Amino acid sequence: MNPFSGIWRNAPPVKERSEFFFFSGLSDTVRVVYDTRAVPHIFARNDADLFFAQGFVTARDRLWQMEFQALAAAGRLSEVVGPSALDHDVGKRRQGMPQAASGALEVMRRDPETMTVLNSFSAGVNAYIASLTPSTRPLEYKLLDYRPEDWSPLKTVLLIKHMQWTLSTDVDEVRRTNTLAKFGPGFMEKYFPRYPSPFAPVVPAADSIVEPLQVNSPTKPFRPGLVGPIAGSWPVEGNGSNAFAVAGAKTRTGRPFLANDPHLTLALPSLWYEVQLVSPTLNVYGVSLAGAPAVLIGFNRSLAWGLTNGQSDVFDWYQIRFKDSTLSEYFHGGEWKPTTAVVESVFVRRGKPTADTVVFTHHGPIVQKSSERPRYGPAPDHAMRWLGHDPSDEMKAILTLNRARDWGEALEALELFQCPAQNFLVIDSAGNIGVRHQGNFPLRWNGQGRYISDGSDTLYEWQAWIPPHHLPTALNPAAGFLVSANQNPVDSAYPYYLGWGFDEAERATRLGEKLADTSITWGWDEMAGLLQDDYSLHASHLLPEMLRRLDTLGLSENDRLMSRELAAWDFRYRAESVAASLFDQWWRRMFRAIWADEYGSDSSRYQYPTRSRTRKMIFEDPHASWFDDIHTPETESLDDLIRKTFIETGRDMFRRFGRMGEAWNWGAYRPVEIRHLARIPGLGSGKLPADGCAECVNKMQTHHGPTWRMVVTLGDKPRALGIYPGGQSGHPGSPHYLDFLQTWKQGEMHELLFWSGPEEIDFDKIRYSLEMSRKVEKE
Amino acid sequence: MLAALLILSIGFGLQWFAPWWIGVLPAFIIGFAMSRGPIKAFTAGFLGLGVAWLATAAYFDWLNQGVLSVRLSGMLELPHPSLLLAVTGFLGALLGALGCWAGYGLKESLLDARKLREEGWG
Repeated sequence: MNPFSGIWRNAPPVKERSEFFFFSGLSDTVRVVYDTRAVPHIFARNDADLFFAQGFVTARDRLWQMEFQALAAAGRLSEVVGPSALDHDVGKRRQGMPQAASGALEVMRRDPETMTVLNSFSAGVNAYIASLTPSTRPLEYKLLDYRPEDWSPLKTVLLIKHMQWTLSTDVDEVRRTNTLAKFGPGFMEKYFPRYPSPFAPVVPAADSIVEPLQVNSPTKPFRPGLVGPIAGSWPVEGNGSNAFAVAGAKTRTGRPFLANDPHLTLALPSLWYEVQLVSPTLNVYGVSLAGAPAVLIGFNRSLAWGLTNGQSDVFDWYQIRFKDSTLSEYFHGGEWKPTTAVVESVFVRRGKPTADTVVFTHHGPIVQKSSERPRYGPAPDHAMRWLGHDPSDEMKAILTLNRARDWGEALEALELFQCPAQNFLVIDSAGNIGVRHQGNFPLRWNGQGRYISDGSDTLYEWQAWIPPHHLPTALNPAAGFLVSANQNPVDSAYPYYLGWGFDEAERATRLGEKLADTSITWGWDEMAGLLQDDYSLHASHLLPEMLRRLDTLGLSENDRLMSRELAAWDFRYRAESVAASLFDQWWRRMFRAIWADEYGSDSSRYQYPTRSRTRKMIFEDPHASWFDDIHTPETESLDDLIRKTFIETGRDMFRRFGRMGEAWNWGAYRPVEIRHLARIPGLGSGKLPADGCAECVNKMQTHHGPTWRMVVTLGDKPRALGIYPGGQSGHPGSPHYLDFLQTWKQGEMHELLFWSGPEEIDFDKIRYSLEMSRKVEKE
Repeated sequence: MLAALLILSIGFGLQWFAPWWIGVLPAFIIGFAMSRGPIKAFTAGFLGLGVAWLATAAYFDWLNQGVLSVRLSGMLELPHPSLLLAVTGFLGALLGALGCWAGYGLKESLLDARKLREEGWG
């Protein structure tokens, strides 16, 4: 409260002033200009200075967030928030995050360029930290009462590992195993198809692979039993993304267009930090991962790229047979082998330090032990095998991609990228559109890793890798467009098995239908509009059938009003739509009514059939036994369920929101809320009415959604639009903390300002600047 | 009045370099040296340090156009952002008032002690 050193010092003047700095870490002069949206454009004379400045400006806006996330990734949160984070921290140690990060850093150290970049970035962050006094520390340090420690390349690597973790863990494998144990293989084959229908893969007509590698498979299938419960906190469905590219032949300008929107957890400050980086060796614009150097998604003068999560399986669970409860020996390949025990110390603020022993097999760590209360993982005494533990240098891949000039150079850069599986959609100024499903993928036998694996059988291991030149790749497809929305990257023509955990194809199908529409000529509005598309294919297919089957005899006035509202719906999840709320709840109730009775309690332990598979059953198998509620003596039909859940929906809406009116609107019924990273109340967005839904292209959910929307086209110079929810500054007292929010919510985008060099800067669009010079040390 | 102004200016000056409670010090000394009654001491400290805190916070808030105070009043569930300023001012005032009053109190008790000694009790 004290205004001289307390929170009032975190209320920066709205009118910023240009500043000069002298740093001994620089070798030359760097100029940083902030445009009207507070995006820094950094102009440096060499790469070391460039990344030093990137570290400095990122920390200046986002230090608390960077450090908090790095501590969270390392399992060190208890040091600042106390015992409440202990389970989280031990969980991170059990996942082997410290080892994953230090292993990757080890590999990065071998590459001089990566290390220069990481060290310079780190020095820039530390230059900012050194400039802080207790009174100028970011607000959250004061509220949570601690001080920043020095930054290091390891912290950047931890953030990268955390991203890999978010995008490549696989708990569904355990859920599938439980579902198999409960319902048997016939159920799995029928209700969990490998390819959805209809469906078009990310990579259309991938080049035919002449001689695919062969892999040995076990002769007798392993049948794991029921495991669980699913303890610990695991990335949820809701992460997913869209990217699409349109060839010049279909666009207004004759040049290709690219659009991308990665969907992740919505948080404040945003995961992304927008920046332009200019040095003699590169000029790139886009979003960086706040806390890591270079640009992750963006464009340069002649190349633009977008990312969607590839979702190919790089994560397996192994059932381990231990000799005894000490977990010191396990059976593998016909003999007993020793485990490795690592003692991890977790320091706890206002509490005693905790020591935890993490047991490693050669597969990977044991996340949850059967001897303890379920807290950390889904499968007690199982080992987790994760590609993120295999050291790799994604930093090098991204740096090389930032400099790539065309499709060919982009491919070379991508081959360095190992984890997680990503679909890279690329356009270049020569007019190419291309896609690559990239990653380091285990050479699996068909179905390997679909369920929990046998940890004693060597044939269940990752025996070899799919060679890079066999990875799914497509360049300039005949259709003139590319679509990637986390669907299966390949179809049955591709000779290798990549996994079972791909998203439903609804978003991809919707995008494909629009992009194939020859009556549309593509330009800015069309590309940006498609990212905003809130049309539900699911509703458009299913709702008419549900209404047709709904027996309206004897329905109340309110219920009849509802059915009329639904019948008039255009299947768009608009914030002001009442029908969207009704359908959403009706469908959820119906889905539950179909499956929940057979699945029983502890539903998180199992995997449910998808929306589209359930829909297919409604159309093609309306007399399926699953429609019957097994808890009642009568035999319910599909029509009974439809009517019952419809009436329940009406009753619930009436009870919660009164008579049908604005309170029933989708935006009020299902608001979106962007929370502060540490869940500090008042520092989030509050509840926002927003368009979009879980199965819409505009995949908006309560706490998940499009974290960065971008549309780019390339010509003589790149032109782009972009937006993310939040603002450049991570300081809650800054006018740039949340200034993009309204624009994002309304589905609009900002023009991104790309300048070739300092001589091209448009000073009308500059708010202020930082000049950094080398500090000459006195003898 | 002079006491309040002195507390304001000295407190304001010191607060930039020293910990949050430093404003108590000038209030205490001035209470000891200048105050002529407990109520006067309390008022001088209250006004002096209160105004120093309130004015400084208000100045930052004005430069910031209220962005932070709006957010923090949301965090603390205050009905209006200006209450945050009021709370800041009140805390400063209370600190100053107690400091100044304590200074005066100490002087009085020392004087009392001297008087008692002179009267042969000590």
